Amino acid sequence: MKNIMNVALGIVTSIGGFLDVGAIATAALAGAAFGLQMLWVLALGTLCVIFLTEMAGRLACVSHHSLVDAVRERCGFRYFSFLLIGEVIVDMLVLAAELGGVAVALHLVTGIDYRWFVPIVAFVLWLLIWLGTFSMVQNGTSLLGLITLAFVLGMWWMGPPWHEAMKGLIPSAPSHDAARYWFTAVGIIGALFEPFMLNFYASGAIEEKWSLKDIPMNRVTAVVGMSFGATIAISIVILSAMTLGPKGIQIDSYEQAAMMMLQPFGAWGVPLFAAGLGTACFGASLQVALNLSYLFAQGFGWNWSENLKPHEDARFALVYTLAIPLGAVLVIVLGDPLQITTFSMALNALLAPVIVFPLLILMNDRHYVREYRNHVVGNVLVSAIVVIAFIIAAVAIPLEVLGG
Amino acid sequence: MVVGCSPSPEKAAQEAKQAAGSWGATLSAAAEHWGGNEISSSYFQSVLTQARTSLTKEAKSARKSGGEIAAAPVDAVASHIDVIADAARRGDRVAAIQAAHAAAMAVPAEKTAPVARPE
Repeated sequence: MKNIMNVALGIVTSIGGFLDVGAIATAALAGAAFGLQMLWVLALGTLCVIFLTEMAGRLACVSHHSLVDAVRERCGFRYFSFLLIGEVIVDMLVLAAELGGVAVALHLVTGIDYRWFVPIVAFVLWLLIWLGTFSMVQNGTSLLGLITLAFVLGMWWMGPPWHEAMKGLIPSAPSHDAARYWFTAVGIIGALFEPFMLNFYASGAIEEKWSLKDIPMNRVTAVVGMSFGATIAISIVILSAMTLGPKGIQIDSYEQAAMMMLQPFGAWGVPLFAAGLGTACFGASLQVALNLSYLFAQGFGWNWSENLKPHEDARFALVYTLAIPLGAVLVIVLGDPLQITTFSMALNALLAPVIVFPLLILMNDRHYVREYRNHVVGNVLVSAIVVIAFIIAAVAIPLEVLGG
Repeated sequence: MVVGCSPSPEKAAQEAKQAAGSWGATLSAAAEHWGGNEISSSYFQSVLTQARTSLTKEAKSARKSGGEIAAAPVDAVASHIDVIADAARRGDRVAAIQAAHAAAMAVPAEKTAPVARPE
């Protein structure tokens, strides 16, 4: 019974990590602009993230190292510094996007300018991390994140066109607007394997003292949990494709995205969209803020644990105490949370090789994972997807930014 | 570099038309839902504010790259926003829907093929 509860909790936990502002925004954008044509990107990205999450968890179970800790040890401080700079830039943008997502959710139900909510959300976030333990932070917000099941219910109510959805799982070239198609594809993949999630997952495994006996649970969590998150993202693509695209509504703002819920839920549509967006983003912002602390603390060998009191790991607490207000300032200064989201998700795809390839090296190193090394399928599949996503990102980002 | 890579006048005109059509369709759908009491007045106001902000930005960018011709569709849709906002302030749902439909008809949106429901 305890094992079943552990697995269930792991699955619920993974929803928070998988579904965030990036997954919601990119799925909605893809559905409205390209119908069901981009489902294959979501399926491929999910497959890749299942492999990566399982690897990060297995590394923690066997070696009792978090990902960053092991990368610094295996690849040296110089490589770690490069990773640190890249991840801090991307994580700060993602944190800004997540804080913006919560603020926009509150704006959608109150009508008050989202910028007024940003400092309040940032303060609540900081307070929760300051006072909470890892389990409380993780499980509390993830359980709230179950509200995102409303997207699945909405899709179900609309009567999903399964035959067309199956056709969407076959890779296809864009029928129009190729630059936007590939930029959206990169955004979807970037939203799925956000580098912060891998280190957060491995750090969480160490916080919860996972060991060799937890390897099967780690596998179940990675497969079922990430597939569950993918189901919600796929539901958003289908809902958006059925309700917005045929009306000619493209998504330039969250106000437009929220309209996908009006047909299935009527007057409850906007509040449900806001609740789903807000809780998913709040859960993810907790993870990004904590990951920034993990990143510095593990890299520089400081005390770290969300289960310690702030005075016991003061530098760990200092990092999120500085990062959260800085993220809040970024949302207010940069404006347009949807644009911050799409851009930061594409940057995730650019950063992915910097963290994924060291992970692959570690997962094939007997010194770290003993006999629990990777199979060739995992190595090849993950490498191929990450390289392809990187190349597309390297081409699509300049085209989107400079070409308007 | 940015200037050198800015979109051609044709592309700017096409993007402006796309954005105008999308916002016209959004206004029309939002007004209908507001008329049917499915969305709150504050949310409807948010849609109007966002439409105004996005279209202003779009018109500026279109004008810069493609001149007045490129910006014309955006201006055509934007010109209806004040009428819709006035109707919303008065609580006149019929007038708001009519004005929003006019905005949608000013620049027809590029729609994706309808996704069929199973029989």
